[in-house]
Amino acid sequence: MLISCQNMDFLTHNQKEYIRELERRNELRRSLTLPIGLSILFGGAIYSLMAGFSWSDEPVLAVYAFVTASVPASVFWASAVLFLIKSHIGYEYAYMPTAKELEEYKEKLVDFYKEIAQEDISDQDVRDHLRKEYADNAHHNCLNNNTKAAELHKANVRFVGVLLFLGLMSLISISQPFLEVFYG
Amino acid sequence: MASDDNAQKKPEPKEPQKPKAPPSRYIKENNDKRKKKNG
Repeated sequence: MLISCQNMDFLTHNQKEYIRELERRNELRRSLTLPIGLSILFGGAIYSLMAGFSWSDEPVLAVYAFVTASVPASVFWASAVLFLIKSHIGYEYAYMPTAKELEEYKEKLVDFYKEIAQEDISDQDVRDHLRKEYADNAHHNCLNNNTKAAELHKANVRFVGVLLFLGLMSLISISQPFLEVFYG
Repeated sequence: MASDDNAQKKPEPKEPQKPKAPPSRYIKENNDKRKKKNG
């Protein structure tokens, strides 16, 4: 069934959008917990593997292989941390005026219409203001959330890269005794 | 003429101004400072 625009309550619609964007902001905040934990875990693992690798005793090929794996792992890790920071810091969210401010505005409007001896349309004025503010704020917060989600996604993709190269680093470290036998 | 000048100089009674609507606020995450829209 088609809904005609005339019957559509834009105030309710805009209010719902505004609330939805604030909920999305909270979800994005909560979803940061896992990547932050991963970054600490992966950072620690990269450091441990690099510190534990016996650089001087290993065959040259093993050292090359380890460096080839550890450099991209470190670069992926650093860029993932950078995107995590970018997804968390520097966002300005828009919030509606407080209930008290709106109440005071309504009272001033009532006084104003009394003073100019016109029909009191303060309710309509307040509704119009709310409708516009809800729309503006929902739009502003939506753009913030989109950017935030994109940065978080970039961080997660880089964590996959870290995981792959970390696995490779671990394999090279574990295979140390076998390489010693192979290369003498 | 002089009376006309005096009439022109008299300040006109101010019409009541429509009250300004309260603006939304922009709040930075990790920062409690509240900033009003349009300054």
